[in-house]
Amino acid sequence: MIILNNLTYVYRKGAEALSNASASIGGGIYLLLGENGAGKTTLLHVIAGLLHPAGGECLIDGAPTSGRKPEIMRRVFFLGDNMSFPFVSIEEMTRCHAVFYPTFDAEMLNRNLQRFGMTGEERLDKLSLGNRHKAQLAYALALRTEVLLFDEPANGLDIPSRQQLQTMIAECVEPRQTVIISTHIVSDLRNLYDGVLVLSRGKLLLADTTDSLLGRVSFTVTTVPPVSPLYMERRLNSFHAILPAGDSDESGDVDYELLFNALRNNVKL
Amino acid sequence: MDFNENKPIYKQIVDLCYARIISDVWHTDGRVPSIKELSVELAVNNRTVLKAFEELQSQGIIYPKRGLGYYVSADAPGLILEARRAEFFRDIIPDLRERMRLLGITLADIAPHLQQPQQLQSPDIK
Amino acid sequence: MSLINYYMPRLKRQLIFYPVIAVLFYFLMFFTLRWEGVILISAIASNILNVMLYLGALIFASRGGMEIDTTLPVDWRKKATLILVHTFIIVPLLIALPVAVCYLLTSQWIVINPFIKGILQQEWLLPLPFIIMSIATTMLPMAVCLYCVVSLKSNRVIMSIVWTIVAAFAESIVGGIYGAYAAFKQGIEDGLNGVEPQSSSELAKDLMAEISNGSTAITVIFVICTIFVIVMACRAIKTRQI
Repeated sequence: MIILNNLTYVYRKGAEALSNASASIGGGIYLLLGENGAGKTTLLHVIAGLLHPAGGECLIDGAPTSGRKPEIMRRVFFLGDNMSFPFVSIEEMTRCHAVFYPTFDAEMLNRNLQRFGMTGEERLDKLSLGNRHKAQLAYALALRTEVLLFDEPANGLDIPSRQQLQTMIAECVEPRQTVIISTHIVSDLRNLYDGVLVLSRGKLLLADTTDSLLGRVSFTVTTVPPVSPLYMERRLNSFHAILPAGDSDESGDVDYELLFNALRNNVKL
Repeated sequence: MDFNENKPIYKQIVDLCYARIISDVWHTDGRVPSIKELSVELAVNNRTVLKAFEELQSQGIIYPKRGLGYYVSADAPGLILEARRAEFFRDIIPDLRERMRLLGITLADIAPHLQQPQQLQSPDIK
Repeated sequence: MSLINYYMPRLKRQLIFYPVIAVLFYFLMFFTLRWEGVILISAIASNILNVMLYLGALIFASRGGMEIDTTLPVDWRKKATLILVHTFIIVPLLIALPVAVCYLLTSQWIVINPFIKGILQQEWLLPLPFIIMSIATTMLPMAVCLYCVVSLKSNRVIMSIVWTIVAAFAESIVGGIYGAYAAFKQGIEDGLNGVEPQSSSELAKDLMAEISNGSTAITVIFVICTIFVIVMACRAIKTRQI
């Protein structure tokens, strides 16, 4: 369980990257949405304990991540979008680094690597960006930490690899884990999300599970504009709308782009 | 009139299960893949598959055996046929009616087409 | 300890290279002590060995980002202890031990040029305060390198080397200023007292004595700076931000 209490982070130049973010994030796979510069990476860094909040706190199981206590750090793993591992190969990383994470699953690592067509003995600096990223993802998922943070995980991955990643996440992530995936490419993993976090200009506009969200609103696509929607967009011949739950008989799945635009237009959901 | 093109994923999964049972990929009285297995195969969230299974269970199409998983009911094919017929009359027919109304097409116009599905020709093109 | 295992892939290179290079230089000296030119060679050798000593902590710099290092689930005190012990104890030993061993094994065969022998026998070369000052002088750039390695956010390797060299230069400048001041003071004192210029070795002896006295002050300053930098490095290890 991740708890954010009025989390604020300020860049050294004085610009506020995160302002008063508060949320309770339970188990599940969450999409972190936000425009460029909204503060997504900053939020992930703070949750991972890599940055100290300027105000407020981020707690994992009650303990602040900025304290970097080993008991908490072994429950979190952050994979950035351009990170390099300080080891020559995944095999070396496993020998030297995985021992610090009691939840590490060596068999899962092997399965993951195999799925991506790798053995783990490849030199990481000799791999292409996409393949290096795949190796890192295979490793990160095998750590099975309670909290997994991914910044643009599909970055650099070709289409078949993205599909493999989707399957891998479905296979490796358990309900007890909280996985936060920050991405611009919503479509890739859209069937996996249990919840969504929406960040815009440093403000956390929404942090909720899809179940809870769909209990409050419905997402509809109709040929005729609905009456009094909370938010609506016209796309080609149909009207995509967000209505209060109950106003329509059946809601489609969450339309993340629509949700994002609605929240940015100050619609309260 | 709502024409909802946006069918939720769990319903699409239900349709998939219907198809597999009808085509005997999943045998009657046979075991159905576990929620986890199916969610991995389809790369979909566990909860979505769970929702689909709950729907199938409420329709009596699958039933759980404690500790062993879900199994296809003996009368599943019949139930599926009924469910699909119900869906046809509940969703497809009203939609067809509405389109006919908007386009000014009458029953007489479409009757010959329904009887002769092989020669698909618009009545205006001779 | 698994923390040692964690850093071992990086340390391995140093654990092999440093002794090898130290031994190579030893044998270089071994074969050239018979010539007077050895002074130049020993100056080069000792400079290179000094630089190796200063940059001992460089091995902890990871070329990419420090995210994995920073989020490693290990108490910061353990990390700091390991890094400090390695930088200030293991690295000097990596250089000194192999040389000592080689010396013990081969000392009987060393041939020293008589002129060099004469210089080495001068007592004033190795008074204790001078040795302590040397140690303190060496530790400061080592500490600076360490601090840079654990706290710089970008261009870690290059900037660490740069700042270490800057620190070493600053030290020599301080030492040079003091040395010049001491010589000046001595010269003025002698001039005021009407003392005749002495032979060069007596002059050198007096100068060294003067420097020895002042070296306590310099040593203390350098030690305080070193401790300060080490404390900052520990703070950085504890709370480093990306």
